[in-house]
Amino acid sequence: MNYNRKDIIAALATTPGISAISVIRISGENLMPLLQSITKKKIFKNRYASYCTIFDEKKKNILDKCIVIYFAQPNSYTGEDVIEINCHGGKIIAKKILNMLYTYGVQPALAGEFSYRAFLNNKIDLIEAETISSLINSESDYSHEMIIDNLNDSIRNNILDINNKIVNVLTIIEHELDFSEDEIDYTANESILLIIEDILSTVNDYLNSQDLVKSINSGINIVIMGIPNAGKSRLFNKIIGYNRTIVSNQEGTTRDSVEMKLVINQYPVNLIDTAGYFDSTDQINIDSIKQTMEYAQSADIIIYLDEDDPVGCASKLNLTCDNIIFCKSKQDNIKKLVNTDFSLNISSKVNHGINSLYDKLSTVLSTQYQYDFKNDPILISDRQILIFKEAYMLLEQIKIMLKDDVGMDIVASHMHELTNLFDECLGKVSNDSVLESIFSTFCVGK
Amino acid sequence: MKKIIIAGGGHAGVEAALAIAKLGCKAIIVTMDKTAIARMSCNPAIGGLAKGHLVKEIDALGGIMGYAADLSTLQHKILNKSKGRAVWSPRAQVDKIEYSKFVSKTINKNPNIKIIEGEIIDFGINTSNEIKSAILRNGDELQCNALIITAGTFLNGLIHIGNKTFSAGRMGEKPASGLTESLKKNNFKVGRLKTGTPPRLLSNSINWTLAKIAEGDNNPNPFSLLNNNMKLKNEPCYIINTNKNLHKILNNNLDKSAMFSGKIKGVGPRYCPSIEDKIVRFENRESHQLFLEPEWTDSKQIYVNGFSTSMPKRIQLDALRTIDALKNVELIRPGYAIEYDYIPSSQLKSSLESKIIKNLYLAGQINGTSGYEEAAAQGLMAGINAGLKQTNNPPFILKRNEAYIGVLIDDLITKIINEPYRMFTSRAEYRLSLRSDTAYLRLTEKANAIGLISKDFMQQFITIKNEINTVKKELDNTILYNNKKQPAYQLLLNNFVTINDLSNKFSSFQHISSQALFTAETDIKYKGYVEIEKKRVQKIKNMENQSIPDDFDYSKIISLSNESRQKLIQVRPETVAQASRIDGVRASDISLLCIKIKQYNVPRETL
Repeated sequence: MNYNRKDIIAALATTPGISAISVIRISGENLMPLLQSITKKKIFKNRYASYCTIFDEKKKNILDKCIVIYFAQPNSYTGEDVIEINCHGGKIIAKKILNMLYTYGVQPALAGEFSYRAFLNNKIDLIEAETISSLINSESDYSHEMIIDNLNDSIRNNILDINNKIVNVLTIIEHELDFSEDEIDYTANESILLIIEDILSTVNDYLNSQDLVKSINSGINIVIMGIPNAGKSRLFNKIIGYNRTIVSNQEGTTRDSVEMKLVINQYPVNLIDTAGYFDSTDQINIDSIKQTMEYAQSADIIIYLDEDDPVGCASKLNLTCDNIIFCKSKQDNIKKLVNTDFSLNISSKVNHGINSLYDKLSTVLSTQYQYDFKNDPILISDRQILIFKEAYMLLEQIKIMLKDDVGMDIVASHMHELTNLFDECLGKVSNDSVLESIFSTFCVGK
Repeated sequence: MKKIIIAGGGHAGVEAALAIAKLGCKAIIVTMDKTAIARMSCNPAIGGLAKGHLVKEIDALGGIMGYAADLSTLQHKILNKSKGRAVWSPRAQVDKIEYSKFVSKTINKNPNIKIIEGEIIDFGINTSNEIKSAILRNGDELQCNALIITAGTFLNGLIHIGNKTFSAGRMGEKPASGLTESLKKNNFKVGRLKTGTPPRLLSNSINWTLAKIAEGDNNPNPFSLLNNNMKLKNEPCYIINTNKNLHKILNNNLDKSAMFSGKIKGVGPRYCPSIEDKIVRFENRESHQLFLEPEWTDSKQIYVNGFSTSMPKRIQLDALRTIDALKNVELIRPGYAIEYDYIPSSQLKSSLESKIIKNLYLAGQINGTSGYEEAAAQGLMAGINAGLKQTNNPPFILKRNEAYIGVLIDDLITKIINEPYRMFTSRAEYRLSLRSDTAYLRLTEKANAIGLISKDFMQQFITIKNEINTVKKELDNTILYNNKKQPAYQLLLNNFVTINDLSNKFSSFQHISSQALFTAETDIKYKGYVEIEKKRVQKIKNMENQSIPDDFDYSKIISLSNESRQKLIQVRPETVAQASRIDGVRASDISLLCIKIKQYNVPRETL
């Protein structure tokens, strides 16, 4: 992949598919002649919408009549000249316009190439780029809100805060290494240790928040489990509100797990219907059971269904999940909502107990995933998380060194490593492969 | 034989001359005073924190400083022993007269070195912009192939004592004028710096019984490998302390200090501050340590380390006399501040040759450094590179991961200096692998390859290198029992186990020098940490290999911050790594630069 080219690039900036309008974004140096050619119009006012006609490569046939906005560099998304063509929706028109542009030597943009250029032109920094990347890939309104907050520099400022603390300690240490015992008073190891422990606990806060943030970003996994024919698929359909899987009375209908994304109480959720769990020698069943157990392991919440004894059945499975909701299924004629073993009585058929299950889910979600996105520590990318993990390990090592009275020269070396890590996190240490991998997770058109 | 002229016979000049002589060129030292060769104009000590590392490296490269210091040592001490072995630094109090005498004798004996008394005021350049001659004040024009300027603090030197000002290179010596002007004429940028020196006291006016004795180390290792078994002297220095009254006197007279009254235009060093500076800056400290150091054996002249000042003589005396031991003290000469011209080194290449005029080299204090050791290191490198160039050899450049000298020169050519540059261990990102005891292992073979190392020295080097390897091998191959079976070296990884704890198990170690044991032990203890350091710095190294095209046009990168662009245009770094070290160039601009250079290197057709 080569981002380092000077071509004019273009791509569809809106989601492909049926929509009222599609937006084509073009970026490059000196785009005015191109714009004049394809529209046969002479004058475009910077950053104003103009209604104009787009012609084909022979400048004969009309491709579309639409709104065009011209952004002169440097005041554009990429920092170069940018043209946004708001053409009619549908695949065909946009495709025709793009093909026409290619005949002018315009190149299809690579994933993330617009943002990469914005980064090159100091329009966005690395953290912002990562935030945009998450923004594109995130799946719920909730995570959008979180990400937009992050755009407001909070991640950057938090990392800077941590880094400043480290630099402050390092300054003390370096100062003492640079001057002899006669010249200055030395700081005791214990007081340096205190600061290190403080930084360590901050970094730890960030790491603790990660499972949470990741879950919210990619959806919280709710897995429905139980023996065959316990009513899992019926409940699954009840929750998502329409029939998606085949429901029948024959055991083992759902061979593969079925997954649906939905939002419960503002939280993005992956609701997963699994194959029934029972002893079988049938190879297909063994495979799907294996898959079920894998889902169980990745589950954030399990709904365990059984007609007779959900608590007892589930206890045989060694489930590691902390949040299991036990449901007695097919309780068509029972009015009681909760049993003495705290399992819920539900019936998907007569719609009994579904509301209380829903309430229970909401409660679990809001207590387990309660989060203050403005003030709590948040990291947004795997890269950031990895760096924090490494920082945590280094800080632990430094702690041990200070306790063991290992030379300050060695402690300082590790502290430098730490500041380097955070500089890297902020994009201050240049590393091409890191840059390209960040931008390549982008969608084309951003 | 190619002729290289050296303007100045100080610590930089003599190292340059000796290196040039070894490389088969003729060195001509032009000095204003033949008796001032290798004069120690300030403190009577060689080495110290980070400076001791430099002395070791100079020795490892065949320089004279460490060797001469050993021969004139009054006391030797390893500083910073409580702080980790990478920052342990040797320092010797030396007999200034002996030191200068010995170096002078060596220079005079060398058939390839000639000393001329005179003052260089200008130089001649041929049509290819190369140095062709040096012009003396008496009108003589000396033909030469290269010129190294090591003028120290002499260029338009101006001494300040209180409100008195007079032109001088050092106390009692004439300044040099003319050279600055000819450099300016050739488009060199020139700056102004200041430094200071404390008063010298009359020994028998001091009540020594009231001062605290500061001894050196017992049985220390000398600086030079050649002096390995030499027994060094251990004469005491003395410690006294300043007091509230002294501080008050100085405080009341700040307006009379040349430094504080704003009379001095040059910027002084932050790290070696004058006493009035210290009192203002650390106003909460009730007392500062001062060292009384003899300047030579049975010296009547005592150096007051820590009391650098530009106060009027009367006030210096009043202040010092508040100290019990100095109640009746007499000054031999007052402390003073000196202002001088320096040439910002961003105008030099890493060989210390100027970017503007070919075969013109600058080294030492003229490049904005402070200290004998920094000067000697540069003189040595300038001499080596001038000699190599004249004999058609590639330049000898030390990288930042190889030597403090590499850090020093790289800093000089990339950093914008606004105070005299002093070496610190914190300037070295490879500090853990640049220990002072490993200078030989890092540098001597390299220096030997270009002909800088004597046979005797090489023999010593091979002996110690073999010893170190023997020790390491034995520790690797011997299995010891300590709770469990493990190779002996693993025991050393414990912070609290030393090689002496193990040596009773290795009879062969009895014949091995203490230096070799120390280095082997420390290598083992530091190995893991050095690896981590290396990995970290690998990232920088990648940038080190990314060179910036000579004709790279920074003005075309609109997204660079203005400050970064200006600095880059001013310094014109040779590599991205150098660019990243320039003060004021933002880190975010460096990643931009990397990518822009990559784009620049893509041939047009493929775009």
